[in-house]
Amino acid sequence: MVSNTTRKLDPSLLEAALTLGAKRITLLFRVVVPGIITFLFKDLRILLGWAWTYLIVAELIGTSSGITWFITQQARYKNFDNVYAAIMIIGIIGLTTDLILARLGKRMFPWEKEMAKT
Amino acid sequence: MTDLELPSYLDQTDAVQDRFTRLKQRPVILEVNNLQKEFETPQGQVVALNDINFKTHRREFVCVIGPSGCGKSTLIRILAGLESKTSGKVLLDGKEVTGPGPDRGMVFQGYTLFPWLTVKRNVMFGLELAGRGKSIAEDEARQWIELVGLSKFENSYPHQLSGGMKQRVAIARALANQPRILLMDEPFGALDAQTRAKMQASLMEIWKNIDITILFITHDLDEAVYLADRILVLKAHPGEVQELIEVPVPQPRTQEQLLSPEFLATKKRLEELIHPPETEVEINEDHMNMVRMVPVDDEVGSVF
Ligand SMILES: Nc1ncnc2c1ncn2[C@@H]1O[C@H](COP(=O)(O)OP(=O)(O)O)[C@@H](O)[C@H]1O
Ligand SMILES: [Mg+2]
Repeated sequence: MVSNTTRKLDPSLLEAALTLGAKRITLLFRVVVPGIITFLFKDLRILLGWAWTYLIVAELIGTSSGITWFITQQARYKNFDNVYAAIMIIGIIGLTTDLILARLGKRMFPWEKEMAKT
Repeated sequence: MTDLELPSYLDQTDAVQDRFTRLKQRPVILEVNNLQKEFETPQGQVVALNDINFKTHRREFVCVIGPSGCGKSTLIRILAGLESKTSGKVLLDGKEVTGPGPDRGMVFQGYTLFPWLTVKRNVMFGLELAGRGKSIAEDEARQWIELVGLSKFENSYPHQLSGGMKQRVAIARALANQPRILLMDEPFGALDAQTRAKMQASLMEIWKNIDITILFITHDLDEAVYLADRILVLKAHPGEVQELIEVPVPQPRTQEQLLSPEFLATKKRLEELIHPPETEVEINEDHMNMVRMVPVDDEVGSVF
């Protein structure tokens, strides 16, 4: 995913930097790194979303603790209040982490058009 | 355009002739000798540039014009050091050019501002690389930003600017390095006509006021005649110099001159060189007969 992201960097930015006097090292630190860091951050948000989903699925299958185990257990006792509460918690945690990352992105990368929107 | 009263593009008034004499006495900034560029492609060898020779003098404005694919971008990229040459010599102040460097500023057609830097930091980019302290670089950057009229936007990010404004920043960023020559590859090609006219006028204004030599690529005839002291006309397959025209329109230039006889005569010459008549699609009698056979809705009568 990271190497794929690096390829998204516009090569004409590298050329522009060269005509402004950049050499190899400055090119790396002043253009390549800042150029790909926003893409990486977006990837991170997507990755965390996936991670959360996998976690739930994994829990459903195995383990005798954790939030999904709690849900199936409570459902067995027909304690539906607790079931719904737990499902809400899963949703809220997922949503909050994504929102926090979005806010953080806006703060850290003010130049990004897309991030300004979220 | 009428042929009736146009003078020859070779006719120069005494004032214009005198200006060219003085211009050619100035030191040579850029010299291109027997430049050759071949590309190896799967379809075989392509000669992009064949035996290109020319000189630009200090504070001269040279336009390069030619049909698409004639090697204009290849030429300017070789001058910038971004592309290798097959053979020949490129000399800047008499020294051979071997790679990209801050002594040659470049403005590209696409917007190449660094999106993560503000306008001011974009302009400071080259200054900082040249080893200026931060506050000196900042002061210098402000002056260049003011020169292109964007002081109010020094803290904006590129995505907040219009196309014309982005190119102004790119010009300021290139000029901040105080290059020996400013290379511009169709810099206004993506702008609408009105913005383009404004950009041309401000570029002329900047050029008149600072010590800078400009090599400007375009495929717009009006743009070339309006901006250039001399126009290098290229032809395609292979890319060769067709003619080096001394523009007989007096300096300083104004928009009103776009309709002057010298202007139109030069434009007509460019037209002949770039769009030779034989390549135009001919509408002959046979073709017209075919068209007449197509049935026409009779309800609307012909007005011819
Ligand atoms: N990297 C390349 N590899 C192969 N052929 C190229 C390359 N760059 C340009 N050319 C060819 O060289 C010729 C000139 O291209 P270019 O300089 O872009 O023309 P222009 O800018 O005048 O439109 C074209 O025929 C083009 O196909
Ligand atoms: Mg081109």
